[in-house]
Amino acid sequence: MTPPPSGSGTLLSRALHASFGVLAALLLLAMTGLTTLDVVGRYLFNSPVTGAFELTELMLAALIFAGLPLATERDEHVDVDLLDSFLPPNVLRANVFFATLVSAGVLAVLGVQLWSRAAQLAAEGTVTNSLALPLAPVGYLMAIATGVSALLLLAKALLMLWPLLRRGRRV
Amino acid sequence: MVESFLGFAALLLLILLRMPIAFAMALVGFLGFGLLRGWDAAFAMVGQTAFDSGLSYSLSVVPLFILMGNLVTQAGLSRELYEATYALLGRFRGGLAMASVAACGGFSAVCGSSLATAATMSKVAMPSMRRYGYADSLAAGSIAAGGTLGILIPPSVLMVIYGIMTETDIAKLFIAGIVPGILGVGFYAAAIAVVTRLKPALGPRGESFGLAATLRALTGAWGVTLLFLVIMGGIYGGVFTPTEAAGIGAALAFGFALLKGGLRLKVLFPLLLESARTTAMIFMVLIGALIFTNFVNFAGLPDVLAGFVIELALNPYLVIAVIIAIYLVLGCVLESLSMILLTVPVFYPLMLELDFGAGMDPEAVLIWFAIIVLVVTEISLITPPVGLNVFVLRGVLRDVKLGTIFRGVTPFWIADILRVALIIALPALSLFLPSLM
Repeated sequence: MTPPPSGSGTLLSRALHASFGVLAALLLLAMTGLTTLDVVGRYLFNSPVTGAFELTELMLAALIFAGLPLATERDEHVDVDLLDSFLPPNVLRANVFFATLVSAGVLAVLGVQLWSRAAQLAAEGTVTNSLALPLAPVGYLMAIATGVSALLLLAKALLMLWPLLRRGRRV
Repeated sequence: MVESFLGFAALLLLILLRMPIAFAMALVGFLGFGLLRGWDAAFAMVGQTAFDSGLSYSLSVVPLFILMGNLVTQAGLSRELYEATYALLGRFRGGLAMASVAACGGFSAVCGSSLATAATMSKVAMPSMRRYGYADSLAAGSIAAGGTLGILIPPSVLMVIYGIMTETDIAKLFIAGIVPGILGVGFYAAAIAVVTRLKPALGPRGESFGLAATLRALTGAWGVTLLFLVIMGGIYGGVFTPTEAAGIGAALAFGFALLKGGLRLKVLFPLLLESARTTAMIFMVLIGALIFTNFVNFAGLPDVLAGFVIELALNPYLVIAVIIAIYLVLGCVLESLSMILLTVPVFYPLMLELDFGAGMDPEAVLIWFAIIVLVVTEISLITPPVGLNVFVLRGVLRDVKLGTIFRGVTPFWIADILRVALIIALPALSLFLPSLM
C-alpha cells in the first residue's frame, strides 16, 4: 500500500510503540520467562509455577491484539499484489482505497463484538480456574486494540483521498 | 454446497482486488454465515472465534518460535552453520550450492519460517557463491529452494496450525517432518549434482579443507545443534510439550544472542516488536480463516465432498493426486498460511474417509497428509508467479533478475515433485519416527 505522508507517520508510530509496542515486548519476554521457569521448576525443584497454563493463555491473547495496531500501522497484513502490474494506476489506487475501507469496517465489527463479549464476561464475573484472574480486562484490551487498528485503517483510507482533494482545488 | 463455492469465488475476487486475506476471509465468512443462519448468530460467532483463538494454550508456541527464530537470526548462527556445511561439501562440484541447501536445512531446524530461512541464508551464502563464480541462477535458486524446508523441518509454525485445525498431536507432526526434510536436502543436493554435471561452469568446486579444519568448522556450529537437540529431543522424549520447548528454545536463543554480544535494547526492542507484529499478522489470518471455515462447514462443503468420494468409490491415490493439483494451482495465487488454513478444513475429513490399507489409523493418515500438504506448499513457495521465497531473494539481491531466479529454481522444483511422489508412495518415511513415540 502507499506510504503514509511524512511527519504524521513517525509521531503516530512512536505513540504506538510507546503503548502497544512496550506492552507486546513485555508480554513476549514474560511468556518466554514464565514457560522456562515452569519447566525448570518442575524438573529441578519439583514445583511448577501455579497457573502457568492460564497465564500463558491470557498473555497470548493480549500479545496478539497488542501487536495488531503495530502490524496494521506498518501494512503488514498479507495481501496479494498479483494483478498490480496489469492494472492502470488509478484503478489500483481505487482498489486499495476500497480494500482498506472495507478492512476498517471488518475490524470495527470485530472490535464491537469483542467489546460486548468482554462486557458479558465482566457482568458474569468470569475468572480463570486456578488463579481466579478476571477474563474481562483481556477482553477489553482485545476490543480496544482492534478498535484502534480499525481507526488506523480508516485514517489510511482517508489519507489516500487527500491528493485527490488538493488536485480538485487547483483545478 | 453452492453457497460454499460462491463464498470461495467471492473470497478470491476480494483478494485479487487487494483486500488483505485475513479481512477478506472474515468478511465472506461473516456474510455467508449471516445469510445462512441469521445475523445475531453471525455477530456472536465472529466475537467468539476471535476471543477463543486468542485464549489458546497450544497456539502460544507460535509467538515463542517466531521469537526464537528472530533471536537465532540476530545471533548470526547462520554464518557458523554455513561455514560447517561448506567445510564438508565445498570441495565437490556444485559444492557451495549443496552447502547452502544443507545450511538452509540446518537453519530450518531452529526456525519455523521458510521466508526467514531464505532471507538469512541468502545474506551468508550468496556472497561466497559469487566469489567462486557461481551462476546467479544456481546460487539464488539453491537458497530459495533450500529455504522452503523451513516449514517442513521442525519446529514449524504451519505444522502447529495444521495440528490445531485437525486436532493432531503437534509433537508427532514435528517428528514426522524430520525424515522428509532430510530427504529434501538430499534431493536438492542431487539436483545440484545433475545440473553441475551437465554444465560444470555453473558451479565450480570450492576449496578443500583438511580433517582438522573440517572438524573445527563442524564444532563451530554447536549452537544450532544444541538448540535443535534440546527442542526436538525434549519433545521426542516427552520431556516437554511443544509450547514448553518453544519457551526453552526462545530462552536459549536469548542466551546465544547475548553471548554473541550486541543484544542491547536498541536491537532487542525492534526484534520484539517484529515478533509481535508477525504474531498479530498470523493470528489475524488464523481468525479470518476460522470464521470462513465456520461458514463453509455450516454450508456442508466438507460433508458433501466426503460423501461424493465415498459414493463414487474413487481410488484414494487419485483423490490425493487431485488434491495436490488443487494445491499447485492455489499456490499460484495464495500465500502458504492462508492456503493451508483455507483448504485443510475442507480436505482433512475427506482424507479420513479414504482407505489406505492396513497400518494407517486415522491419526497416521492425518500426519501423513500434513507432510504431503507441507511439501506441496513448499513447492508453491518457488512456483511462479507468486513464489514468495523467490521474491525474498529478489529483495535481498537487487541486481539479479526475477526470471533468473525462477530459472535457477526449476531443477529444485522437479526434485520437489519427485519427493512428493516418494512420500506418497512410502508413508513410512513420514510415519516411522512418530510411531516410535
